[in-house]
Amino acid sequence: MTFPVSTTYTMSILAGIVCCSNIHAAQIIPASNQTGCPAETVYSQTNLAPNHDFSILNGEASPPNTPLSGGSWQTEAYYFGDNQYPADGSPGGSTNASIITTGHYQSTTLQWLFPGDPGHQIPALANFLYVNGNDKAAHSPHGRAP
Amino acid sequence: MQPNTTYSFAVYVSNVVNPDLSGVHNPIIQLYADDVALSEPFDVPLDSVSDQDQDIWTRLEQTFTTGAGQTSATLRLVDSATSSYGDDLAIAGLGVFACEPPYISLNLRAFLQGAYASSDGRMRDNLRQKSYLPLTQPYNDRQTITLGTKPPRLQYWRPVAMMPQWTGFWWNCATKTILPNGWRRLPLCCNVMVMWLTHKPTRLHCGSLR
Repeated sequence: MTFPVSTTYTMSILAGIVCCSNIHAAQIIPASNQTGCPAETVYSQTNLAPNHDFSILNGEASPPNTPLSGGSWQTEAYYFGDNQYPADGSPGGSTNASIITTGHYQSTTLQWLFPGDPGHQIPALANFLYVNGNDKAAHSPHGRAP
Repeated sequence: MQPNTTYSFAVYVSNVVNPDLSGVHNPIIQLYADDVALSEPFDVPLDSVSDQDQDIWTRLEQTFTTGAGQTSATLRLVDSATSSYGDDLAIAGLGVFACEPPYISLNLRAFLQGAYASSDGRMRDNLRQKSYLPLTQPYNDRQTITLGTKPPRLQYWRPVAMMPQWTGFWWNCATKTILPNGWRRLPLCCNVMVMWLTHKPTRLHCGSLR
């Protein structure tokens, strides 16, 4: 059985390089109107989403200019390369891009790593999936960080 | 996936965009299961890029229940933002978990006593022979265990409970009962058991009735 998880994204900004740092606290905030497992039930111990932590980088699995996939999930945004800014207009002329980043992502902005959620027994993670826009909106170079 | 089962679909998201940029648009995220929206659109907020303590990862979680005969589902995380200015998203910690009745894992040792028949080295099972014993545990529906066509020498059913919450756990080693995920088979074999535990598993008794 599979759980394909696809994403549909629009445009985005930013450019940068990969950096790394120590993991510190961050805020884990539950969105409102959420529903967890019903009363008198608990979460199973098996996560049915393989590569749910994006620990398997995708470089060999997804050729450039194709959807990024890893395990049971797939992005609608095209694969741009591991540990790179997923620029608008990826190789081959695609306007979608996505990436798995190892370490904190830093350019003129900085995305810290996921710090873990002890309340849900989720450990800190070294990787995350960075999704930039797609071609559903006009390309906008002004959206990039200077 | 299993039919008629509730699952949790959760993911953590964070806005990557530099908040110093003016007029940027945020990702707007919705969770779907088989093209059915599970949640309202969530506007992923901008967060600090200079202070890690102010970095924000938002947990999005919704549940869905499979239908009769349904063994798979397509889960989607959809960004419905329409602007090309901004809308950078970091995703971590995908999770799809079944919602199950609670259970715990035990490693038990039982002590036997009761109607031991030295002639064959087994326990008496007079009650079962007289068909006084139900072949299915009679207490609740948490676990359905049937002894089958060749029941062991079972004299009576008794629950195994961990206080303060009942687990509805049933076990008979002779039947090689299928244990819930995470349980460990007891390192002994007797065909009549009375087992009783407190929250601190200090006492376990196994025996039979004459």
